[in-house]
Amino acid sequence: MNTLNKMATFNKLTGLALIGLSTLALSGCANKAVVSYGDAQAVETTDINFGSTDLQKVASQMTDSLLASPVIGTMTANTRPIVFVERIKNKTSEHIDTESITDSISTQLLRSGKFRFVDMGRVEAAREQLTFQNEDALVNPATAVAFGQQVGAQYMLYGNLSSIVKSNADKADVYYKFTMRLMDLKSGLVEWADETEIRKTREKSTFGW
Amino acid sequence: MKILIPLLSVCLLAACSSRPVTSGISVEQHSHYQQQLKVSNPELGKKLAIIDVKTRQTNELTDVVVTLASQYKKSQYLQYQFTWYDKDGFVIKGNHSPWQALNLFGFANIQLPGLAPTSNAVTFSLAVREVSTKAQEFED
Repeated sequence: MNTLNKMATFNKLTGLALIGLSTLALSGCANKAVVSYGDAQAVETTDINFGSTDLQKVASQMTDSLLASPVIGTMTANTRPIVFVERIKNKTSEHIDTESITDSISTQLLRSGKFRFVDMGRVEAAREQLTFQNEDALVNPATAVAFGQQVGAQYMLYGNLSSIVKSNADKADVYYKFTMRLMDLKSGLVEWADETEIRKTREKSTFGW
Repeated sequence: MKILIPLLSVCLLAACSSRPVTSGISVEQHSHYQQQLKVSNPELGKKLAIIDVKTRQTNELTDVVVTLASQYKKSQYLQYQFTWYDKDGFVIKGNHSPWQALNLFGFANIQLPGLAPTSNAVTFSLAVREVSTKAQEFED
């Protein structure tokens, strides 16, 4: 009788342990909110939309193509051409901060030491500062930067970003095409152009991972 | 029942250890003619090989092409990254080279191009690793 009771108690305990462990296993560690730093350069595949990896890829490929081009080699042999970045026209259906792409490209080109840039986005701020220096009694006129000394850009960098999106019940596919051109402002000639493509596909996973 | 409890415990422990496999194979260039191959993930090393490294100067910048060869019949989902160093071996700051995704078909060869970000960058290293999947994260 005693042995039977002990067996029943053991079975109950085992059952309880099993239920406890199952609950833990099912809940896993998912309930814990964990904050950690990731690698900003890592490949990001959270969803199919234009992401950080696409931005980095586009910027890096365009910079490499421009810097390796023979025309640019001749152009930058004895001088550092002055460029102004117009903008990247976003022709996709998504909201994409294209200024971020041009910022990355111009930063990388500046860092290469082969180009100089004028920033059209800060013209008003520069004008305000020069007006202050030249017209306000607080500034020593000998140290004020005079008007009419800035240099004009020789080249204009601009481009387009377009996409084709297709999807059905099981699959979604997006194709991005990024085109970039460098125009000589004096002659109007396009001195360099290149394009890069990105294809991203989302499929339903066969397994539950 | 006796088997179920340890099995569940293992599942429970596995669920808590979520660390992706980030090792792979790499090539480091120490000087113009000296390169060193490293295989830190032998499993990937069996399926993938670096068979050629070519360098040249383009517009005063070091231009590199590394040829990867698949030794595996199925497609491999990989990512690669170039890192650039100056003549003293210091990493070039503000390295613009991100990890890039690469889909390598079975037994195919592919050339990975890399261009130095500045004329100071003279040597490089290239790391190739697999895109980590959830399934890998539970292996130890």
